[in-house]
Amino acid sequence: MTLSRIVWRCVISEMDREVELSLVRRLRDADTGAFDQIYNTFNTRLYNFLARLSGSRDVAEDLVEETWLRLVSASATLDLDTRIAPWLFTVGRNLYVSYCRSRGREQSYTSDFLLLWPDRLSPSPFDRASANESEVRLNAALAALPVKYREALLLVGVEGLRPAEAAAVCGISPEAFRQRLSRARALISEQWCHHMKEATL
Amino acid sequence: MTRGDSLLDVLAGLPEWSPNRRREHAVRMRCHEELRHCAERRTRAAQRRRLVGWCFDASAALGACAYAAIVLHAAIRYALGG
Repeated sequence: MTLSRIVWRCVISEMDREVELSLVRRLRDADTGAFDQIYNTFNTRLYNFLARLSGSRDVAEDLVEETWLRLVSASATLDLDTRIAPWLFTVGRNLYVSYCRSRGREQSYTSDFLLLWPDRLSPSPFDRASANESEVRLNAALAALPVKYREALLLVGVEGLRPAEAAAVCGISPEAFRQRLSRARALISEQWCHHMKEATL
Repeated sequence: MTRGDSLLDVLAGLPEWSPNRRREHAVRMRCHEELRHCAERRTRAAQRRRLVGWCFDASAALGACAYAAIVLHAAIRYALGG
Protein backbone atom coordinates (compact mmCIF):
# COMPACT_ATOMS: atom_id res chain seq x y z
CA MET A 1 0.00 0.00 0.00
CA THR A 2 2.78 2.37 0.95
CA LEU A 3 4.79 1.63 -2.15
CA SER A 4 1.84 2.04 -4.46
CA ARG A 5 1.01 5.32 -2.80
CA ILE A 6 4.52 6.65 -3.26
CA VAL A 7 4.57 5.60 -6.92
CA TRP A 8 1.13 7.09 -7.40
CA ARG A 9 2.24 10.36 -5.80
CA CYS A 10 5.24 10.55 -8.10
CA VAL A 11 2.94 10.12 -11.06
CA ILE A 12 0.72 12.91 -9.81
CA SER A 13 3.44 15.36 -8.87
CA GLU A 14 5.16 14.76 -12.16
CA MET A 15 1.84 14.91 -14.05
CA ASP A 16 2.66 15.64 -17.60
CA ARG A 17 2.32 19.37 -17.99
CA GLU A 18 0.76 18.91 -21.40
CA VAL A 19 -1.91 16.65 -19.92
CA GLU A 20 -2.56 19.15 -17.14
CA LEU A 21 -2.88 22.04 -19.60
CA SER A 22 -5.20 20.01 -21.77
CA LEU A 23 -7.35 19.11 -18.73
CA VAL A 24 -7.59 22.78 -17.74
CA ARG A 25 -8.54 23.72 -21.29
CA ARG A 26 -11.21 21.03 -21.43
CA LEU A 27 -12.51 21.99 -17.99
CA ARG A 28 -12.89 25.58 -19.17
CA ASP A 29 -15.14 24.17 -21.87
CA ALA A 30 -17.20 22.41 -19.16
CA ASP A 31 -16.05 18.93 -20.19
CA THR A 32 -17.29 16.48 -17.56
CA GLY A 33 -14.72 13.89 -18.69
CA ALA A 34 -11.90 16.27 -17.81
CA PHE A 35 -13.54 16.96 -14.48
CA ASP A 36 -13.76 13.23 -13.77
CA GLN A 37 -10.10 12.78 -14.57
CA ILE A 38 -9.12 15.59 -12.20
CA TYR A 39 -11.54 14.34 -9.56
CA ASN A 40 -10.22 10.77 -9.70
CA THR A 41 -6.65 12.00 -9.44
CA PHE A 42 -7.02 14.45 -6.59
CA ASN A 43 -10.12 13.64 -4.54
CA THR A 44 -8.50 11.14 -2.17
CA ARG A 45 -5.40 13.31 -1.76
CA LEU A 46 -7.49 16.37 -1.00
CA TYR A 47 -9.63 14.42 1.44
CA ASN A 48 -6.59 13.03 3.28
CA PHE A 49 -4.96 16.47 3.44
CA LEU A 50 -8.07 18.12 4.85
CA ALA A 51 -8.86 15.21 7.21
CA ARG A 52 -5.38 15.40 8.72
CA LEU A 53 -5.44 19.19 8.77
CA SER A 54 -8.84 19.52 10.40
CA GLY A 55 -8.66 16.40 12.52
CA SER A 56 -12.17 15.46 11.49
CA ARG A 57 -13.31 13.30 8.59
CA ASP A 58 -16.78 14.85 8.59
CA VAL A 59 -15.36 18.35 8.30
CA ALA A 60 -12.97 17.14 5.61
CA GLU A 61 -15.82 15.72 3.55
CA ASP A 62 -17.69 19.03 3.70
CA LEU A 63 -14.58 20.99 2.78
CA VAL A 64 -13.73 18.64 -0.09
CA GLU A 65 -17.22 18.99 -1.50
CA GLU A 66 -17.03 22.77 -1.28
CA THR A 67 -13.60 22.76 -2.93
CA TRP A 68 -14.88 20.79 -5.92
CA LEU A 69 -17.88 23.08 -6.26
CA ARG A 70 -15.53 26.07 -6.21
CA LEU A 71 -13.50 24.47 -8.99
CA VAL A 72 -16.60 23.92 -11.07
CA SER A 73 -17.91 27.44 -10.57
CA ALA A 74 -14.49 28.90 -11.38
CA SER A 75 -13.86 26.56 -14.31
CA ALA A 76 -14.78 29.09 -17.00
CA THR A 77 -12.38 31.69 -15.64
CA LEU A 78 -9.40 29.46 -14.86
CA ASP A 79 -6.12 30.64 -16.32
CA LEU A 80 -4.94 28.38 -19.10
CA ASP A 81 -1.67 27.71 -17.25
CA THR A 82 -3.31 26.88 -13.91
CA ARG A 83 -1.58 24.16 -11.89
CA ILE A 84 -4.38 22.00 -10.63
CA ALA A 85 -2.89 20.53 -7.44
CA PRO A 86 -1.76 23.82 -5.85
CA TRP A 87 -5.08 25.42 -6.89
CA LEU A 88 -7.11 22.71 -5.17
CA PHE A 89 -4.98 22.63 -2.03
CA THR A 90 -5.07 26.42 -1.77
CA VAL A 91 -8.85 26.52 -2.00
CA GLY A 92 -9.23 23.60 0.43
CA ARG A 93 -6.84 25.15 2.90
CA ASN A 94 -8.52 28.58 2.66
CA LEU A 95 -11.90 26.97 3.20
CA TYR A 96 -10.52 25.30 6.31
CA VAL A 97 -9.19 28.64 7.59
CA SER A 98 -12.64 30.18 6.97
CA TYR A 99 -14.21 27.26 8.77
CA CYS A 100 -11.92 27.83 11.76
CA ARG A 101 -12.80 31.51 11.79
CA SER A 102 -16.49 30.78 11.58
CA ARG A 103 -16.14 28.42 14.53
CA GLY A 104 -14.18 30.94 16.52
CA ARG A 105 -10.98 28.93 16.36
CA GLU A 106 -8.57 31.69 15.42
CA GLN A 107 -6.70 31.05 18.62
CA SER A 108 -5.99 27.48 17.74
CA TYR A 109 -4.95 28.46 14.23
CA THR A 110 -2.46 31.13 15.19
CA SER A 111 -1.08 29.73 18.39
CA ASP A 112 2.46 28.45 18.44
CA PHE A 113 1.73 26.16 21.31
CA LEU A 114 0.18 22.81 21.60
CA LEU A 115 -3.55 23.14 21.99
CA LEU A 116 -6.52 21.01 22.64
CA TRP A 117 -8.22 19.70 19.54
CA PRO A 118 -11.72 18.49 20.30
CA ASP A 119 -12.16 17.33 16.71
CA ARG A 120 -9.14 15.10 16.77
CA LEU A 121 -9.59 12.08 14.55
CA SER A 122 -11.18 9.18 16.28
CA PRO A 123 -10.15 6.09 14.34
CA SER A 124 -12.80 3.59 13.37
CA PRO A 125 -12.49 -0.01 14.60
CA PHE A 126 -11.30 -0.91 11.12
CA ASP A 127 -8.57 1.74 11.30
CA ARG A 128 -7.53 0.49 14.72
CA ALA A 129 -7.27 -3.03 13.45
CA SER A 130 -5.43 -2.17 10.25
CA ALA A 131 -3.09 0.57 11.40
CA ASN A 132 0.11 -0.45 13.06
CA GLU A 133 1.28 1.19 16.23
CA SER A 134 3.85 3.51 14.70
CA GLU A 135 1.27 4.86 12.24
CA VAL A 136 -1.08 5.57 15.10
CA ARG A 137 1.69 7.37 16.99
CA LEU A 138 2.72 9.35 13.94
CA ASN A 139 -0.87 10.40 13.30
CA ALA A 140 -1.18 11.42 16.95
CA ALA A 141 2.07 13.40 16.77
CA LEU A 142 0.87 15.09 13.60
CA ALA A 143 -2.52 15.91 15.09
CA ALA A 144 -0.84 17.46 18.14
CA LEU A 145 1.05 20.00 16.03
CA PRO A 146 -0.29 23.54 15.62
CA VAL A 147 -2.13 23.84 12.32
CA LYS A 148 0.40 26.01 10.50
CA TYR A 149 3.14 23.45 11.09
CA ARG A 150 0.88 20.54 10.37
CA GLU A 151 -0.17 21.96 7.02
CA ALA A 152 3.47 22.54 6.05
CA LEU A 153 4.34 18.92 6.81
CA LEU A 154 1.23 17.58 5.11
CA LEU A 155 1.76 19.55 1.93
CA VAL A 156 5.42 18.67 1.48
CA GLY A 157 5.81 15.40 3.34
CA VAL A 158 2.53 13.69 2.61
CA GLU A 159 1.22 15.31 -0.55
CA GLY A 160 4.58 15.74 -2.21
CA LEU A 161 4.15 19.37 -3.26
CA ARG A 162 7.29 21.33 -4.03
CA PRO A 163 8.18 23.81 -1.25
CA ALA A 164 7.54 26.76 -3.58
CA GLU A 165 4.08 25.42 -4.42
CA ALA A 166 3.34 24.69 -0.77
CA ALA A 167 4.43 28.23 0.14
CA ALA A 168 1.95 29.58 -2.41
CA VAL A 169 -0.77 27.36 -0.94
CA CYS A 170 -0.07 28.74 2.54
CA GLY A 171 0.15 32.30 1.21
CA ILE A 172 3.66 32.94 2.50
CA SER A 173 7.06 33.49 0.92
CA PRO A 174 9.20 30.43 0.07
CA GLU A 175 11.79 31.53 2.61
CA ALA A 176 9.20 31.81 5.38
CA PHE A 177 7.83 28.44 4.36
CA ARG A 178 11.27 26.83 4.58
CA GLN A 179 11.61 28.14 8.13
CA ARG A 180 8.14 26.95 9.01
CA LEU A 181 8.86 23.50 7.58
CA SER A 182 12.10 23.26 9.49
CA ARG A 183 10.33 24.22 12.73
CA ALA A 184 7.58 21.71 11.94
CA ARG A 185 10.13 18.92 11.49
CA ALA A 186 11.71 19.77 14.83
CA LEU A 187 8.33 19.87 16.56
CA ILE A 188 7.13 16.57 15.17
CA SER A 189 10.42 14.96 16.10
CA GLU A 190 9.87 16.17 19.67
CA GLN A 191 6.31 14.87 19.58
CA TRP A 192 7.50 11.57 18.20
CA CYS A 193 10.12 11.17 20.92
CA HIS A 194 7.52 12.05 23.52
CA HIS A 195 5.18 9.36 22.19
CA MET A 196 8.02 6.83 22.05
CA LYS A 197 8.91 7.55 25.68
CA GLU A 198 5.28 7.14 26.68
CA ALA A 199 5.13 3.86 24.80
CA THR A 200 8.22 2.47 26.52
CA LEU A 201 7.01 3.38 29.99
CA MET B 1 13.34 10.13 13.28
CA THR B 2 15.52 13.10 14.12
CA ARG B 3 16.66 13.72 10.56
CA GLY B 4 14.27 15.78 8.47
CA ASP B 5 14.57 13.68 5.34
CA SER B 6 13.79 10.40 7.07
CA LEU B 7 10.85 12.09 8.75
CA LEU B 8 9.46 13.11 5.37
CA ASP B 9 9.94 9.54 4.15
CA VAL B 10 7.94 8.27 7.11
CA LEU B 11 5.24 10.85 6.46
CA ALA B 12 5.08 9.82 2.81
CA GLY B 13 4.34 6.30 3.97
CA LEU B 14 1.33 7.27 6.07
CA PRO B 15 -1.69 5.16 5.16
CA GLU B 16 -4.34 6.64 3.02
CA TRP B 17 -7.89 7.15 4.24
CA SER B 18 -10.65 6.50 1.76
CA PRO B 19 -13.44 9.03 1.50
CA ASN B 20 -17.06 7.96 1.81
CA ARG B 21 -17.83 6.41 -1.61
CA ARG B 22 -21.50 7.28 -1.55
CA ARG B 23 -20.82 10.90 -0.80
CA GLU B 24 -18.01 10.94 -3.36
CA HIS B 25 -20.47 9.81 -6.02
CA ALA B 26 -23.01 12.42 -4.93
CA VAL B 27 -20.41 15.20 -5.12
CA ARG B 28 -19.29 14.06 -8.55
CA MET B 29 -22.86 14.06 -9.84
CA ARG B 30 -23.52 17.50 -8.35
CA CYS B 31 -20.39 18.87 -9.99
CA HIS B 32 -21.42 17.36 -13.34
CA GLU B 33 -24.76 19.07 -13.01
CA GLU B 34 -23.09 22.38 -12.14
CA LEU B 35 -20.77 22.00 -15.13
CA ARG B 36 -23.73 21.37 -17.42
CA HIS B 37 -25.50 24.46 -16.03
CA CYS B 38 -22.33 26.48 -16.56
CA ALA B 39 -22.11 25.25 -20.16
CA GLU B 40 -25.76 26.11 -20.75
CA ARG B 41 -25.31 29.57 -19.24
CA ARG B 42 -22.29 30.14 -21.45
CA THR B 43 -24.17 28.97 -24.54
CA ARG B 44 -27.09 31.26 -23.76
CA ALA B 45 -24.73 34.17 -23.15
CA ALA B 46 -23.01 33.50 -26.49
CA GLN B 47 -26.41 33.38 -28.21
CA ARG B 48 -27.39 36.68 -26.60
CA ARG B 49 -24.13 38.24 -27.73
CA ARG B 50 -24.71 37.00 -31.27
CA LEU B 51 -28.27 38.36 -31.24
CA VAL B 52 -27.12 41.75 -29.97
CA GLY B 53 -24.42 41.80 -32.64
CA TRP B 54 -26.95 40.93 -35.34
CA CYS B 55 -29.33 43.67 -34.10
CA PHE B 56 -26.48 46.15 -34.11
CA ASP B 57 -25.52 45.19 -37.66
CA ALA B 58 -29.13 45.36 -38.80
CA SER B 59 -29.69 48.79 -37.24
CA ALA B 60 -26.47 50.03 -38.78
CA ALA B 61 -27.61 48.77 -42.18
CA LEU B 62 -31.03 50.41 -41.73
CA GLY B 63 -29.36 53.65 -40.71
CA ALA B 64 -27.14 53.55 -43.77
CA CYS B 65 -30.19 52.93 -45.98
CA ALA B 66 -32.08 55.83 -44.40
CA TYR B 67 -29.10 58.12 -44.86
CA ALA B 68 -28.76 57.02 -48.52
CA ALA B 69 -32.49 57.68 -49.08
CA ILE B 70 -32.18 61.18 -47.64
CA VAL B 71 -29.17 61.93 -49.80
CA LEU B 72 -30.92 60.52 -52.88
CA HIS B 73 -34.05 62.51 -52.11
CA ALA B 74 -32.01 65.70 -51.79
CA ALA B 75 -30.17 64.95 -55.03
CA ILE B 76 -33.40 64.39 -56.94
CA ARG B 77 -34.91 67.60 -55.57
CA TYR B 78 -31.78 69.48 -56.58
CA ALA B 79 -31.84 67.91 -60.04
CA LEU B 80 -35.48 68.86 -60.50
CA GLY B 81 -34.63 72.43 -59.56
CA GLY B 82 -36.65 72.40 -56.33
